[in-house]
Amino acid sequence: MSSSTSNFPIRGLVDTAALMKIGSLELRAKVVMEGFQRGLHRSPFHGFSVEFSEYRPYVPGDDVRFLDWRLYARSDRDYVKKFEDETNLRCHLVVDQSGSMSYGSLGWRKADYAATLAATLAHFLDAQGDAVGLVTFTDHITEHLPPRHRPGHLRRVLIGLERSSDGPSSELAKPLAEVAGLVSRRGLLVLISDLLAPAGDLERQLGALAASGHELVIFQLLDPAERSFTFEDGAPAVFRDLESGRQLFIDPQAARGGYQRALAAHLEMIAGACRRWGVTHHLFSTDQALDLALLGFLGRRRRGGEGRAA
Amino acid sequence: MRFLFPIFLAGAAAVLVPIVLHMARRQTRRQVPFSTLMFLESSPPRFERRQRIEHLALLALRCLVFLLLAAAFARPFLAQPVPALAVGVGERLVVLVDTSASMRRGELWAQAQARARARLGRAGSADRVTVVAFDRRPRTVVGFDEWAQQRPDERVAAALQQLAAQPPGWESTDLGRALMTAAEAIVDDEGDSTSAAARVVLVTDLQEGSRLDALGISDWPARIALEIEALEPGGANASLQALPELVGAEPRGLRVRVTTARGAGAQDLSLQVHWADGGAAVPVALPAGQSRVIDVPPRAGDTPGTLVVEGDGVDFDDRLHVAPPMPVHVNILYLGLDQGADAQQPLFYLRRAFPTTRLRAPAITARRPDATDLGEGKAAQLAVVTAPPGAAALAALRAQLLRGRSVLVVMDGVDAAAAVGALTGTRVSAVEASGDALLTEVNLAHPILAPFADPRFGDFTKIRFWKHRRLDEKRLPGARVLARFDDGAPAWLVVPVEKGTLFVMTSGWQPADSQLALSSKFVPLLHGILEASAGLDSGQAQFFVGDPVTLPAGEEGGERRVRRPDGKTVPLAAGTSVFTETELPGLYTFEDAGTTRTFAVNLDPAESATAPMPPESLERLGLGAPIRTAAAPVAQSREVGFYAGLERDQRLWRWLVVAALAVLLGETWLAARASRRTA
Repeated sequence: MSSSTSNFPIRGLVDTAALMKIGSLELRAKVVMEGFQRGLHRSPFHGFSVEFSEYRPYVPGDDVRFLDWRLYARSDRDYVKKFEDETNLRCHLVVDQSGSMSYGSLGWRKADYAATLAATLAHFLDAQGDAVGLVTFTDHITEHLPPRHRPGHLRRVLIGLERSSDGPSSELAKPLAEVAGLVSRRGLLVLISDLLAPAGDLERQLGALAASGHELVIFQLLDPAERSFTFEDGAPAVFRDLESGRQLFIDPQAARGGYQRALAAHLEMIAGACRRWGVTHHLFSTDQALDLALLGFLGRRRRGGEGRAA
Repeated sequence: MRFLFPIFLAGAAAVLVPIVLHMARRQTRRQVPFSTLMFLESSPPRFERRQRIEHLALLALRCLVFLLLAAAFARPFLAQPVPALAVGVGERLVVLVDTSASMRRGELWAQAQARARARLGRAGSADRVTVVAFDRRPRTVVGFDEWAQQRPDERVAAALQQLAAQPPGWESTDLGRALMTAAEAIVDDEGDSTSAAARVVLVTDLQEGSRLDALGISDWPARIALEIEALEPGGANASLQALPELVGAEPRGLRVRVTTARGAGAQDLSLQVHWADGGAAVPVALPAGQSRVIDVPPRAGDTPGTLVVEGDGVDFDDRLHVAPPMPVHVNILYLGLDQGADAQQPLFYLRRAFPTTRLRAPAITARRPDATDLGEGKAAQLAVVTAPPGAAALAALRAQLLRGRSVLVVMDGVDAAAAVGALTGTRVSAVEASGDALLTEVNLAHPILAPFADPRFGDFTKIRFWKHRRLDEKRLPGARVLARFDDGAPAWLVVPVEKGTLFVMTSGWQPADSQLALSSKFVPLLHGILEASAGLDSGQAQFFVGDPVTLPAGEEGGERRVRRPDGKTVPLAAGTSVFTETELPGLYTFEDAGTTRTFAVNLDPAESATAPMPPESLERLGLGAPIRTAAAPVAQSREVGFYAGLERDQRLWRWLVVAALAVLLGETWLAARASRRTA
């Protein structure tokens, strides 16, 4: 479990409640970025998106199209230049927009928080010169922008993030399988979701994504009420599932213990799966200051403990 | 306030439903959206201890609706004292008691007597009562006048004593005829005054095999009430019925149909069929309401015997008496102009209608109608005339009729009317009718046409008649028309002449006249005529109880008698050709000078259909809805009837339903107001 998770709000440079009141997603992302850029003493992106070329001696059987003829002219060595274009960081932001993401007890929804987080990351990477792509999904993929680094592309990503599409979904495995089919080139996959779905299927898909060479980072977002299961009016009520529409009569006082145990077990299963597959897992509470959360993540990344592309 | 059906008051217990729902009321209106329910389970409802006041009002209204509905279903009425019911003042009552063979089962007869006693005991002193026992025929046990003449305190005992003297016999049940006789008795007794109430009480097992066709003919007077005291027999029943030998088939042993009665109490039976005097048993397993045809092991010497079926609980119809048909020689005298080789002429078809079989060897003697030597020779069982006979032939035919035999005259032209007139001793004429014709008004009740009574065989419309003659049947004394043509002219006539019977067909069967010879009706029709004429001589040896048996004409002065199954010998007067004392099932022996014939008399198979008749069958025949009397005590049922009438007059339940609807409206309004307030 990531150290950046917390049960209480950490006071960052940006007040989350104030931030979430900003209507424009682009503006929100800029505010966060500026906030933590002020806190940074040096770029966390050193080594993050360094140009990198791989050469290796030609062996019979290699496609001659990939011979580096200029090097050959220079040095009389036949070297193969491999995937020069992949050396740039290609990042896919995979954002969950399923029904459960529209829950929020603080005045903003998890989906808003996820969009701000994704927009901030997109801003960063774009400023860094990396290619950013976007995939949003409900129970299927609703939006796909391939990673580009072009003028105007960031704007399209932000528009894609703003176009919320709450759809019913009770599983993550299917959209993740679609993502795996869609993203063929290796790169960084950032999955922003509440991961409230059966953990078994999720583990299989994470394994498949990790095995295909992607570096996988998961930001799991949970509302504080989802963790504490406390409500203003503690009276029994009919709880309606935002994804399936199923209704259950629930007395929160009676159900809290069982709920928290089940949730803890679920989170533990996800954390265990992430450990097994080498996936970076960050659990965010939506009342947590975004800049601090990101800072924690980037700080760990800079130390190079987890990155493979770096 | 009293209730007609107080059992429905138990429905008031339904008030517990709103009470429990109110106590266990969930906050169902408040919905909380939540991201996922995958970690949650439904909580049990919490019982509220206290209710707010408007909820109590709602609860009260809801409970009131249930109470009102329960009260409405219980049919309340305001009680009044039961008036001293002047039951039976001037009422005419016919008590019909079934004495058919099926009443021999178990305790049915004792039950019937008890019911009759109870019903007669309820009759008022001013009632006019008659008791009629019935099986195939109704018999008056106590007449209206006889009842009235006796002292009131002795009437019931006397009637029951006379009823006890008429225990169930062995005959079948003609319920329709009995009911119509009862209705007629009432109508006859009423004379001109029809103001008094009239009632027929039927004490019967109401078995399925009862005949009802008499009800279809006449209308049941609507003012006569019918009350059925249905007896409830128990036990599964199985019965036997002998099947006729297949004509033309290879000779084979006796075939018997084993039938089980359907209905309540019927069950799968495993039966044993064997001869009464020993021999191997044939096992038969039969579900209720089904029948199976079995081959019975032959008896040594093909002698008469009695078959027994065992394994059912009812034994009145378990014995089947079998007399093997006797091979007989039948003489048929034919008077006509043809020789039998021409397919356009009648004799050709007549010969083919009477083939020689194992049991019947008909000999057809063809003579010219002007033959003069007909007086001698052996008497024919049937004479067929297709051409105007000469004087000598007429004398011979007349002698034939005097001996009790039959003559069939087929008119080939208007001249034949003279022969009909001569044979019947009247003067009758005929005219040739024009145009082709079809048969209508076929009298299927007549024994000759009885084989066609089944609707499957009763279609005569496919036979077309090209030529026929109009005979004035009114001139023939006692003539009965068996069938008419569609222009109203009689087609087939029966005229009794002395002891014999004259059959007249006004159209021939040969192709020039009609399609009759080519139709499937031809052979059964001619055989029917032959059997009606010859009786036992036709080889028939199976009869039902109550059937008259036609006996062979004896020689003059010979002693003839019939030995009954109970050992009694009935001497037959000279000239008697019909034996009617067949009231017992069993083997009868007819003894003539030198010859002995055995014939079997059995129960009518319909009597073995002992399943209870559906009550609608009487209703369908126009009897209104008969009242079925349960075994309830008289006084109570009278009281119930009075209260039912009272309730019907008051109809308080309607007001209760209206009140329930009003309360529901109030409840809706109150609930809407309450929800607006909480919203």
